[in-house]
Amino acid sequence: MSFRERVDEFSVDEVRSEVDRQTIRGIGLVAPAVFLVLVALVWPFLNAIVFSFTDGTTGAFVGLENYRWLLDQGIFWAALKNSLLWTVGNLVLQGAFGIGLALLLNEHFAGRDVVRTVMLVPFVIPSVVVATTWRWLLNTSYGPLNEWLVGLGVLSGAINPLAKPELALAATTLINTWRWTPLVALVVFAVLQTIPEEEYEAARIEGAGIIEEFLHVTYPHLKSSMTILGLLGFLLTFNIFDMIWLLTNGGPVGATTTLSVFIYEIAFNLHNIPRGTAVSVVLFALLAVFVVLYFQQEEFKEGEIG
Amino acid sequence: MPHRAERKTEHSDSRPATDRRRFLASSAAIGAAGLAGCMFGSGGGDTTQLTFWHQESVEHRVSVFDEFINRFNDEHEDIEVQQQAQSWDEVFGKLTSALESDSEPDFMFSLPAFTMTFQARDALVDVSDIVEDINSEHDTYDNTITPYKYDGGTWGIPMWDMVFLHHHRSDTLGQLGGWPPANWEEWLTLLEEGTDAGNDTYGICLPANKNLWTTENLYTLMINRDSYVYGPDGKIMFDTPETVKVLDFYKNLFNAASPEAATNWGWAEWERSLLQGQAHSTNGFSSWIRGLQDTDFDQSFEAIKQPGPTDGNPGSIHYVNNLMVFNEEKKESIGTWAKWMHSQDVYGEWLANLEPTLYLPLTKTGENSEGYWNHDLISKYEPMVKTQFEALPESSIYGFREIHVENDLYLPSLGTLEGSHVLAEIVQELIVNDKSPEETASWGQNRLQNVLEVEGSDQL
Repeated sequence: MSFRERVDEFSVDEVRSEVDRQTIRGIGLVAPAVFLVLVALVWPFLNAIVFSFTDGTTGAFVGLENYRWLLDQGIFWAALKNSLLWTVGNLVLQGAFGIGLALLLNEHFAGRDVVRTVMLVPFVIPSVVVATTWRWLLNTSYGPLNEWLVGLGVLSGAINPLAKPELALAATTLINTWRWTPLVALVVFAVLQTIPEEEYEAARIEGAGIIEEFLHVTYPHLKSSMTILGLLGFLLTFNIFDMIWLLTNGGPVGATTTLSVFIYEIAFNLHNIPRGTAVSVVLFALLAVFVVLYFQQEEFKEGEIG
Repeated sequence: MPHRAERKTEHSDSRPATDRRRFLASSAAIGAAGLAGCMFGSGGGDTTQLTFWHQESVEHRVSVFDEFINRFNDEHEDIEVQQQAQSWDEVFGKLTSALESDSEPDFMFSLPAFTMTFQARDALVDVSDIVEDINSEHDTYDNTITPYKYDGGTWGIPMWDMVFLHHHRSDTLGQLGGWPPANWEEWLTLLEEGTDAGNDTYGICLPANKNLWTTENLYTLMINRDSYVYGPDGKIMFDTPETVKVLDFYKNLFNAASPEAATNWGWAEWERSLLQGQAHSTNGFSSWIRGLQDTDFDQSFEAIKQPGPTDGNPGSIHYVNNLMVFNEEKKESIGTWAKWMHSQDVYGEWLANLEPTLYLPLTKTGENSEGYWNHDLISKYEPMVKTQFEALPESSIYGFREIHVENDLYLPSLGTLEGSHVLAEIVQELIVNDKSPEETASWGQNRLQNVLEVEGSDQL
């Protein structure tokens, strides 16, 4: 073996042992976090999957019986439809109002800072307070909203949309939109602050109007943030339980029963946790498919995000 | 003998080794003590420790439990009882998990359907002997034991009862000519007469939301009409002419005399309506009397037994609270506790303080207890409470009506019936979706069969 070969072999070994040390150190540092995730998330989830194959009373293994039962339930499909309407409705409205609000706040006017602060109030109020407040506002007997609207002649008689099957889902969607729009507006507003004024000036020189300015200057800057917000918003909104439950209990006549509400009803009202778990597993699968499809967007493929 | 400085040096040199030894020795001692505590601690020498759950998590009820637990523990050196307050909303999941992990309480307070759910899972201990001892000593109302006697045993020790009455304003409805109503027909007419929707005043607050309160309000009327969920064969027998009559009455009463918005109301809105003078009556438990004291109407409410139809039966719904026992080994000590709670000097006073006017003694001993009647609120509403005692023997609950008891039926789907609020769903179809009583009865039959997974009765 030549001297050169011996040196090469030495350095390769040295590098290899350094890499090994770094790998071991890395694994050592990550291990506690991985362990926690395994214990707190993966293990319970795998357990839940196993649980979904058992009988609610005896605990005996029943194979796919709970899933077969689920697919036979008309209410499951109705809940899935409600979940989609609820999620899409919320995302569209929160997106539209959030961007609109952010664009307004981006303009200079007296009291802008005050408006910006007040705007955040719905977002910081706990869900239970939001729900109680809106139930009170919409009450037909003592709710001020009905009193004003009837007084102004807008309504011929008091009406509580939360008690009407045809209006309940729309009403809960609007209330949830009222709550979460400030967050969207805040994120959009932060992005708007980063857009150089020169880009707008250049667009104006080119003869762009307000709409062209938005489409060709503002929107390209917002796109990445909105893509991330869209993903998070979809996942979070799809899983919302508290607001719906507090406002309507999933009623009237199931009009606001989403999959989250359905899971709660099966697991804790019907006392059948395995079946509730089966719905949870289906919900997880649906959301996982959505996430995979969502990541097929160009923004993610081109590495524009992250 | 080494010099002090030398000793110090020697000590300093050997410090790590000594500390390690001390540490190991201390750890071993603590470990052994802990292990011993785990192995023998529950005995605490000769003391049996009993842990129980209850769902009376309101502050004043927890305090009352505390007071009586302390009294019991002082009087019983060999038993130490401790409470753990739970919430009804979470207790099912919590108990299920506790049973899975063998960390369930020794016993807990419960209700008939909830008890049957866990009896069906083989989680309960037969308490026939304790119930019989209490009955022979204190004369328990029969229909408070009935909801726990099935499948060859008695699975709950009855502790208190709650009975539906018709509570009404004596200054408004009570002044109407013909009050009190003798039957459903008069009841409807008088409550309609007491309604002035234009001025937002209603004869009754009848619920139509999907909750337990609506379930109870429908079932209490079903009792008056031979209308059932389960037939004598234990299968679903809802779609009957009798049920159609009940649904027809419910719909008429709701449309004539109840706030339309009650389709979306929970307990808070219902209580507010009653205590602020909007609704002038309610059919239900006397659970709101404590809140009534903070209003101007505290002298304005009376109660009558729920009227029945002319050609129907008297009676209303009742909920018997019970103890269900999980720990066979500690059954004797649990029996000592249950019997002590039922004893002459304790029982009436305990219930009166726990929730006056709502929790009713279910033994003659309790009914005649001075400690019960001496409570301020109970003496203030004595006629109301006496009406409860009159209504108690006629009261009943789903799954334990005469046809069920006679046929010795075992209906493990009762927990699902109550938890699913399917009877309330039926009311929503009737009121919110404006179905006819006939359509609703038919819809309800299918829905009940589907949710409870029980076939239709041959009696249909």
